[in-house]
Amino acid sequence: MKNLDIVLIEDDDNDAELAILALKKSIPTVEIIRLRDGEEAIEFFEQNGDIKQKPKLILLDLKMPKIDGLEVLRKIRSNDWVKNLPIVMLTSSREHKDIVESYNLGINSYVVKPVSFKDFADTISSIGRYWLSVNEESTK
Amino acid sequence: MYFLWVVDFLKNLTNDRFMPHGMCYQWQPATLWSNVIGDSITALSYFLIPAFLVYFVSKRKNIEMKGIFVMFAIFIVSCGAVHTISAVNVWIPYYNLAGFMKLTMAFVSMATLALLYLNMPKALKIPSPSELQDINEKLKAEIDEKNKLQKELENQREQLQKTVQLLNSTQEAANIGSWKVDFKTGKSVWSNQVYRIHGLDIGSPTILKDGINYYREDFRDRVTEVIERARIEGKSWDEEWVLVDITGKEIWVRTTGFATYENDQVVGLEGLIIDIDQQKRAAISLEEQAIELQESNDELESFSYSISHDMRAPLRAINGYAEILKDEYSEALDKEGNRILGIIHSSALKLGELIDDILAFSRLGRKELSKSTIKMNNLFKQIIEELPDSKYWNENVKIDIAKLPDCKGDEAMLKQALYNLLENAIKYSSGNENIKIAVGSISKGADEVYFIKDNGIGINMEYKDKIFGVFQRLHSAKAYEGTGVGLAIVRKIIERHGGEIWLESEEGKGSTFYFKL
Repeated sequence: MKNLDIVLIEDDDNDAELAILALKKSIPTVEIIRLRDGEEAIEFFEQNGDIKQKPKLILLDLKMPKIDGLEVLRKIRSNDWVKNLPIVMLTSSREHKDIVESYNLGINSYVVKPVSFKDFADTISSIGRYWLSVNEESTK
Repeated sequence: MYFLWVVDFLKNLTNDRFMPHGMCYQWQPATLWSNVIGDSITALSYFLIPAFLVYFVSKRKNIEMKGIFVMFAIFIVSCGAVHTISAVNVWIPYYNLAGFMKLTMAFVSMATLALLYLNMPKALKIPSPSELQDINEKLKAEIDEKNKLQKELENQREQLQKTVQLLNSTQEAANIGSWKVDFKTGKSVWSNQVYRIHGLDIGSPTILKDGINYYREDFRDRVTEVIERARIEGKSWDEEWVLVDITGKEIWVRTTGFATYENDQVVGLEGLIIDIDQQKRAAISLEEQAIELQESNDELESFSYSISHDMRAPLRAINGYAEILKDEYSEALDKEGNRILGIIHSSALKLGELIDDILAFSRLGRKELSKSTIKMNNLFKQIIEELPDSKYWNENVKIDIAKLPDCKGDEAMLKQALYNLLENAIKYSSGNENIKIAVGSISKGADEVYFIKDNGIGINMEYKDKIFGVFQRLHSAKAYEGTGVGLAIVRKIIERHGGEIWLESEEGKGSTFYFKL
């Protein structure tokens, strides 16, 4: 099994598919796991397991049913296993309080999902490429 | 024997067996008449003097030692009588009568002497006229002093009355009444305004217990509690309660009270009662309105939040899949299929922009202003650097910026407004080969008015207000792109700053937008 690169936590199937398509288009070898909601995400990070399963980047959707992105952040940030992982918040919200709250919880970046797929693909691919290369550097 | 002698003497009072006294004068006229006239005139004056005395005593009331005066009168009359009989004895020898009268006079004179002796100490105490004068003067001075004091007192009383009147009218004007309770007597004293607040006739009898019963039932426990606390612990209060007046009308009042002491003992309470009904009701309705407003604001917020998230997601999907379709399957579609796909794509993008603009507009109303001093020339410089990223950018634009005064405002918001204005100016000049935009300012009184002038298509001044409305467009989307929110955002930002925006324009010649903050 190949090393995991990105964990995408996104409840919207279309958004998830488009994000994966965009990432795969710019980094054909990228390994992505998609988690469907907050509960799945917390469960995933709680199974303190295989180091190979440790991703290099987490893309987290802010607005999800039941457990939202901020709640997931709070839960996984205290987990040693993911403490130092870069997390990028994906959202449709430009609400000031969401942005502030996200940064307070220690995210590395905040991306407002554009309506244009081209813009979305560009943004998400550049984020993916940036963080993957940063991680490559540090593990070398 | 003596008795017989006396009887004989009295029987012979008018016995004329003696020689008349004139015989002794040998009827010498000079001797006779000098004695008779002397006796007669003396007698006359001796009768008149007591008459004057009696008249004097009767007229002068409260005269001291009246008895002495009477005695003097009798004594003088008896002297007069003796002189009269002496004159009569010249011709008629009633010597027994004369002797009787002289004895009477002697008795009266002795009695007068005794009375005078007995009354001497008292008489000595009677002040002399000069002493009386002194006393009188002193008394007069005292009376003057007293009058003066009296007058002062009256002035003070008048002043006090005026003050009380003023206090009453002030209390009335301010709807403030003062009250006092004396625990010893159980009596309350209310100012006029307290009666008015209770709807009672001024001066109606009041007792403490009644006072409490005027408060609405749900307040009475609290009223009793604070009064008890003031009575026992000496704690003062300042509370707002509902009072039910005599007509049953409910009135909000503010009451304050504190304990009064005598030898470290609480002996009563004193305080004020203020009719705050109007203010309180206004405050309550304002509070209710504020809550309602907050609720509708919250609703609006969650509405725009959900628009922002939920409406954009399907839009992204439509757009995303349309783009993929265009990129990867356009060959599989014929020309018409590609045209339709293009419409889907551009419509989705347009809707996305629209949603973004509505959200931006609604956020503006809620966002708090963070004001600072803004260097307007710097702000315009930043905007001009960013403008080439605008989809309405045109290489033919020349923007002149004059020296501008600083202003106070929320920099991020103003930047948005000025960006929109400049972008607007470029957009509606797009057909022009030499687009000229001038930014400047003019002083109008205390206000600095900024302006942005273009040489674009201009607008009919009939629509000068319409263009600032949300979704108000004067041109078809085909001719000029846009969502119709740009100028609405500008106006909202200027108005949030307490400013004003207006324009002057002529179709075909260009527009000038003015604003002041």
